[in-house]
Amino acid sequence: MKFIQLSVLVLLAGSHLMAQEITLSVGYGTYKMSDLKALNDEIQLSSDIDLPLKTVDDFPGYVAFGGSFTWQLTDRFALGSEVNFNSTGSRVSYDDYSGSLHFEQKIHAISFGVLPSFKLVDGASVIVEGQPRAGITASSLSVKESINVGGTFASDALDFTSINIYLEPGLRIVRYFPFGNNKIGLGLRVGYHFTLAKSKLFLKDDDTMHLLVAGEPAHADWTGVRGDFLLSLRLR
Amino acid sequence: MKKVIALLLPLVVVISCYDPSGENFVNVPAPVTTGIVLDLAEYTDTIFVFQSESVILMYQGKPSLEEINVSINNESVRSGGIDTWGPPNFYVDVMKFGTGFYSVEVTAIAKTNSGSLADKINVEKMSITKEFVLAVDIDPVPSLPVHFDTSDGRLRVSWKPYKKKNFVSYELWQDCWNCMVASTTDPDDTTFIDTQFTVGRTNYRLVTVTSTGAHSGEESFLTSFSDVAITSLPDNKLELTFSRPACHANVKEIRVYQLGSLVHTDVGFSDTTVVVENDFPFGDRIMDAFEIEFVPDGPASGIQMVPYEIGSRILDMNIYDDWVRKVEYNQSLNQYYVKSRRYLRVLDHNFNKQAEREYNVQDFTISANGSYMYAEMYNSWTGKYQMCSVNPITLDTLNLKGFDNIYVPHLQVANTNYLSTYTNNYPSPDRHYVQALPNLNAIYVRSVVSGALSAISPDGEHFFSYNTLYKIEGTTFTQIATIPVNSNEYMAVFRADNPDELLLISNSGVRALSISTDNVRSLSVNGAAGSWILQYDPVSKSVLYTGSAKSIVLDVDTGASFTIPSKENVAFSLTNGKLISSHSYVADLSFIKSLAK
Repeated sequence: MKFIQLSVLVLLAGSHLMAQEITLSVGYGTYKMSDLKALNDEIQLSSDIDLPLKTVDDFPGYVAFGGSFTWQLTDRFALGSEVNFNSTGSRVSYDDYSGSLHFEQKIHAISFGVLPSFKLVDGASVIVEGQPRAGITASSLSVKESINVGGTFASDALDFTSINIYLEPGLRIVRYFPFGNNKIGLGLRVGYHFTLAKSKLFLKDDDTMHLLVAGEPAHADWTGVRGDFLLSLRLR
Repeated sequence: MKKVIALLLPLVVVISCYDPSGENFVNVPAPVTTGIVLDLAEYTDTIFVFQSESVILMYQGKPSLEEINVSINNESVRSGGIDTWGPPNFYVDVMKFGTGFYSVEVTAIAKTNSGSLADKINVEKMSITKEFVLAVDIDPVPSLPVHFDTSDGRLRVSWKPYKKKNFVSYELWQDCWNCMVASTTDPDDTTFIDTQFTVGRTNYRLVTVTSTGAHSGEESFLTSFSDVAITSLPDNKLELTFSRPACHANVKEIRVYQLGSLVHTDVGFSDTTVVVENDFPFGDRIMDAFEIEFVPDGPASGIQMVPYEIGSRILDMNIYDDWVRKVEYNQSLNQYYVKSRRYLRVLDHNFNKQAEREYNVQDFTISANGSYMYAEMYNSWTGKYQMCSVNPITLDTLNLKGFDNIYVPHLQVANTNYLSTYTNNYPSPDRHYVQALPNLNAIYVRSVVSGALSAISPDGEHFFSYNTLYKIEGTTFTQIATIPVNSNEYMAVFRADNPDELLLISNSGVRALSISTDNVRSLSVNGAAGSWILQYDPVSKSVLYTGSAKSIVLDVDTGASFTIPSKENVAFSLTNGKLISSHSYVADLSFIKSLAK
């Protein structure tokens, strides 16, 4: 939060001199989550209940949301900050006539990053920019086991958190439209998210404990493809 | 700003968070509810208990049994998990329920073993409930008697069946507590055939063995004997006749013992009559006179004791204070007059006592004639013997035509045909014998001390006095012969059965004088010394000598005599052909004579 506050202050300090742009994005991301996928495998193998558990949902890609604010510092270079929200999850399941046994992992992340933007194509209405983003990802993982037998429901959940650093190089294409005096633009952005410096997933209630998979610390690995639809608004 | 973010962020998260989905439905077959067996291991649908016990249950099925709950009459007697070391069971306390019928509900709870999730986490159960009937019977086992049937010649022992469920076996015991003769585990097998019992007394006892123990029945006794009759035969023989006993089919051989010696054997049952020598002495009943052994085909044997007594009849003359000294029979009144030491009694022809009188006299003799009984008694006041008549019905003493003393040797004849003279010079003490002739109202006495001996013949034609025999013609006495009387002869009597003879009797013998020929024949009796009762019986033609140790009967015609042992001062009397003892015997003298050796 302090970083965000600081960034905003810096930007605001020079805002009266630079063009500003707000971009909202809705997109899709895929997530590697290899450790958490391995956790699903481990659950299936080590379950106390001798049942044919199966992973029915394995951290698929999901809609992501984001937003950014940039200052055009030069004609070719803009700098800003962004925030993104990603989530995914998995489920290991067993169901029969008598009930169900689910082992779910829900993970979401809020990423805060610096958004440098290098204009590659500066057209009259279409702009192509290269954006090597970087920042931190705050992940929140909820691991929940629930059993429902004969109408009786029981569950148990553990929450973990971790902070990781990411790097996400990408390409942004925006077309500004004449209405709104070329201030409104629609675009696309594609990129690839790399989760770097993966930290352990610490138990939320006791940060001395962390999630282990196969005896090794598990990490939230958000590495994967990103793609967004953009709605930009130039402020100046 | 923070607050805005803090408020908006969760909303964003909730709205946009990925929610995992998907199912892995596995088609698990539903739990098997068929083929499950919940039953009683030792009963069908009714539990029969006769004592407190554990009832074992039987469970079979794919679902695995975990819990058994049992209630009897809606009261729980068992609940909870099952034991791992044995079959499931529940305990019935009969004292809690008592005899009667009760409903039993058994609920078995089992894990389905279906393989479903619920089964895997051990929450999928199934219950099976079954109802049974509990029949409690703690009533005591009845004591069953046995019944005997000998209709087919064998001893068939039978009893009523014991039909209760706690039956184990029957045990049949005979004659003793350690002699089990049969046992069976079939409750309907209630008959036993005894192939050994022939005669005698046997007892059987049935023991019904149940699961609660052995219960002994009451003893049942059977007494079965052959009908044995003993008949006297000529030539001093006896004939035993015996009938087939009830269990004759068991008899293989018959053995007859007489006084312990084997006298006859018969294989099978062809002979029912055995003739033996009559070796029995006169006297008491001999209980083991004969033994008839009915031998079966086996080790057992039935022996029947056959008693025998000499004599035709045993009487109870109801004389229980002292022994009989003399018995006189009054043919006219058909009465017996029995003189004992203290009493004079009148008995009817069946020897039933009709009258009794105690006499405080030392001794007296009696004689009967017609409607009179004559008694000579010693009068202790006068010191003289007194002759009197006695009312034969009331035994009241009456004076006989006014005389109270009799002088011997003069003839004292009290009848209408002769003069009755009496004097007062009656010597005493003395022993006298009173004899009355049945057809004459006459009395004759004989003094032992004086030697006077007198008698008159029954036809009234002859008279003997002292030592002279007279012929009576009207009132004339004509001397016929002089017959010396021996000093020890103290009885003279004309034979009523033989008018030609006069008997002079002493304790050593008899002299029979022929009136027509004057011949004398002497008959001696050995061992009669000390006899103090002499009695002549014209019916049996015998003289009875009765002493303290024995009695002798002498046939005056043949001279044959036989001795009768007297035990404990048994006295005999001879009257009307019958020998009567103070031991309550009446015997046909002719029969006894046949035993004379």
